[in-house]
Amino acid sequence: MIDVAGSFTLGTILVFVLLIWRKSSAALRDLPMDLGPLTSEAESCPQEFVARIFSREDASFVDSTCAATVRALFLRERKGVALLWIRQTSLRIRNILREHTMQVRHSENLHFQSELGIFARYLQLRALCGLMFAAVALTGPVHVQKLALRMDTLFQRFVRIRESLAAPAPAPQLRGAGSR
Amino acid sequence: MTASVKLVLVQEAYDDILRRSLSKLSCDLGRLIYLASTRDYNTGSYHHDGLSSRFTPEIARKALEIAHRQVFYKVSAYSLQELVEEIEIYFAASHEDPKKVLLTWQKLEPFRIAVPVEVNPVVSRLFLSNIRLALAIFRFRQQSAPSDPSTASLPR
Repeated sequence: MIDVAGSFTLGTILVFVLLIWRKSSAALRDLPMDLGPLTSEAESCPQEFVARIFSREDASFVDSTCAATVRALFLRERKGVALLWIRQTSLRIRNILREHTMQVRHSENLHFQSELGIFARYLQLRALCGLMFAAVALTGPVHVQKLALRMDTLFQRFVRIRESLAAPAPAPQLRGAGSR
Repeated sequence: MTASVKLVLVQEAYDDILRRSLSKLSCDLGRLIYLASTRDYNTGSYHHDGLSSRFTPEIARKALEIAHRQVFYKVSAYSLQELVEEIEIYFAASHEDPKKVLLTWQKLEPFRIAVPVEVNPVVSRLFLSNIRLALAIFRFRQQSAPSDPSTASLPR
């Protein structure tokens, strides 16, 4: 049987989860409906822009010089851009894994450990995307700059690993080739 | 024309537009608007009479496209503080009433045409969002400090 403290903790967690869900749903509604270009293989967002989206410097500038209305506009605008970046990153991660899976299906020399590694990284990144989405929807982008930069680094690493696995293997050397 | 020769010519055309036209503009925001204005609204291709006559229309088009993208990325990476300064300089250089220009920019958002075609959608959104914010800050400053010497020095 659950005691009073247990019920209280459970209730608090439930309220917290509901709050995150509501905020995230509201944030999703604010995102542009047409996400077509996000799914394409367009160039990725350079890291200096990721740092700018989550910039504390801009937030401090707005805080120190502006009225509440401008501060609210700043928070709304930056939140929109941050959520778009998370959504774009999430879609690209999904696309990369989908392409990789399709390629692996036709592959004859499958390395189980490499495949497990890439899948683990995929799960890690998708979890980070979810966490970032909830955090940005709840508190705004300014407080999660470090996490965003970490996620971007992990994403770039994921892309590189995938590229190295997708690169065609060097042509097998014929026995005796090059020797006389 | 080989690819390497073409590349050298594009570089020359790029340097030419930088030296002859862009260096004469007072700020990067002005350069961005200028470069965007060399693009045809319907076809999206760039054209510049002087540059086309010195090189070829194709080389000029490529050089303008590269210059546009570079200036766009530069302005998009600006901090809000820098962007507000850019807007102040740009409005002052327009020789129009800054209040009128500000209202027009906020209403019509003409800066939307400054986004090149092939850019990351997140950077594009960041640029538009930052310009909107910089305009709001500029407006707030004008309203809260009408006797501020920096705004008073703007042409009326």
